[in-house]
Amino acid sequence: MSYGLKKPLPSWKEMPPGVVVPAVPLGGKNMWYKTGNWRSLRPVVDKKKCTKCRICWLYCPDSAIRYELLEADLEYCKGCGICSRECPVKAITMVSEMRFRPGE
Amino acid sequence: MVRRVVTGVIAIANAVKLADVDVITAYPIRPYTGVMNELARMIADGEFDAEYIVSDCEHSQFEMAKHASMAGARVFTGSAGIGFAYAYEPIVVTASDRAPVVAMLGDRTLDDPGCFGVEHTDALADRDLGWIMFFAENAQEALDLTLMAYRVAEDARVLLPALVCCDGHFITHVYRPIEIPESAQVKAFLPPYNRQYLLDPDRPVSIAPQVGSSGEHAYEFRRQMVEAMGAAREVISRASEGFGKIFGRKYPPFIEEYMVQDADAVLIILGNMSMNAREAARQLRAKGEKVGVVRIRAYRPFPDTELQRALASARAVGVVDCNFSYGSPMGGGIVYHDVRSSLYELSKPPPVVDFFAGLGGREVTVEDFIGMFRILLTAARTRKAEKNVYWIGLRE
Repeated sequence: MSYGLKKPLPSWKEMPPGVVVPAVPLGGKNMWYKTGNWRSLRPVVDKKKCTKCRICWLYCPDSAIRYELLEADLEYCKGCGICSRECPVKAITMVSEMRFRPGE
Repeated sequence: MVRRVVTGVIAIANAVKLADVDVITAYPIRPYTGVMNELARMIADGEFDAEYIVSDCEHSQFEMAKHASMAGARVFTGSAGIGFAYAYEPIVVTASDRAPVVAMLGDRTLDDPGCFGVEHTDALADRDLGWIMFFAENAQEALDLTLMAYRVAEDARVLLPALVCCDGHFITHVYRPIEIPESAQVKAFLPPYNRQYLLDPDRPVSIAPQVGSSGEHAYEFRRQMVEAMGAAREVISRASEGFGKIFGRKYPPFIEEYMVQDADAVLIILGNMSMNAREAARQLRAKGEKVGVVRIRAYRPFPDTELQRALASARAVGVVDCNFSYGSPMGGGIVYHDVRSSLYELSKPPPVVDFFAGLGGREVTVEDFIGMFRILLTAARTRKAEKNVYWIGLRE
C-alpha cells in the first residue's frame, strides 16, 4: 500500500494543502517511513517469562509490537523501551544494538 | 448597528463574538489581556457561547488554537510582544499546517527592557512564516480587520492563519466611538468555515507527518505556501469590496493613500502613527508643500505592486519604522527594506530614507512628522538622501 504517496512523487500542485496523507489503517504499515534505523536499544522478549498479557502491545506508541507474535517489528521499533518498562513480569530486556551482527 | 465608545480591546472582543467563534484559547499578556477579559465576561454573562480555554503558557495556547482549527472550529487567540515570541514554534506550524487561526496581536516592545509601549517587532519578526498580517489604525479598523481576517484566512484558496496587529495602548487602550455591526450583516459577510481535511476520527488522515525521511515533500510544500499567499491578494481585494457593500465602511485592500497623487515626498507608515503623519501632511500642504502619506494595512502579503504604482512619481520616499532589525543592510528597519526592494523595480526609483520613530511606545508628534517631511523634501529636490537612516526623537 502506498498511502497516497505514490511514485513518481506528486508535484506541488497535486499535493493536498498542509501535506495531508491518508492515515495508515490500524495494524497497517507505513511502507514509506520505516523508523527502525533510529534504534540503539533492541527489545528482546524472554518467551519463558511472557504471559501474553499484551500490555507491551497496548503501550507501544508506534504500534510496533506484533499482536500474535508479541515481538517488536524491527523495521519500525525505535527502541524507546516503553514496552520493557511497562511489562509486569519484566520479560522484555533492552539490549544494545552493538551486541547484534548486521542483519541479525 | 450600535454606536459605542470603547477601547480597541473591547472592539476586537465584539468582532470575535460577531464572528461566532467556536474556540478561544487564552493566556494573559498586556495589552492583549483586555480582549481575553472581555471575552470571558461575555461568556460568563451568557451573551456569547464559545469554548474558552485558559492555557498554561503561550506555547500551548497557540498549539491548542491550531488543533481546534484543524478539527473544524473557528478559533480566536491572541498575544503581545514577548508572549507571541514564546509561541514561536506553534506559530510556525499553524501556518504550515494551513490552520486559519485568527490571532490579535497587541503590539508591544519586546523585552528587555520590559516596556508596555508599542513596537512592531513582535509581529514583523514573524513576517516570513506564512501568517497573513493586517495592521489596524484604530479601534474601528481593529474590529473590521478581525472580521476581514476570518473571511480571508478561511477561504479554501488561502487557508492560512491571520494576525490582526494593533498598536499597544494607542489602539488597544484608547477610547473611541465605533460602530458595532449587526450579526445579520456579519453572517452575510462571513461564510461558515469548511475544511476539506479535518482532524476527524471517522475519516483518519495524517496531517503534516514527517513524510519521507529525506524531506521528499518539504520543498513542494514551501511552494504551496507561496501560492496560498499569492491567492490571498485576490481574496483580500474581494473581501474588502464585499466589506464596503455590507458594512458601508470602504477600505482600500492593501494601502491607504493620503494626498499621494502629486506628492514629491511620501511617508510610509504602519498602524496608528499615521494619524499624526496625516495631520503633518495637511499642515504642510496648506503651506504649498507637496507631501503625502501611505499607510500599509496588509503587510503580508506585501503590497509591492500597490506601492510601485502609488510611488512611481514620488521624488523621495520615507519609511517610518517602529521596529528594529539589528545588523540589517544600512542599519535600516524591517519595513524600510521591504519598501526599498519593492521600489527597486521602478525605472527611476526615488531615494528611500528610513526614520526610526516611536520605539518603546515613545510619542511621535505632528512636529516630528513635519521634521521627517522636511528631510524628505530636501532629498526630493536633490534626488539624493543625505543619510539612509534617521533616529527621530532620540536623546543624543
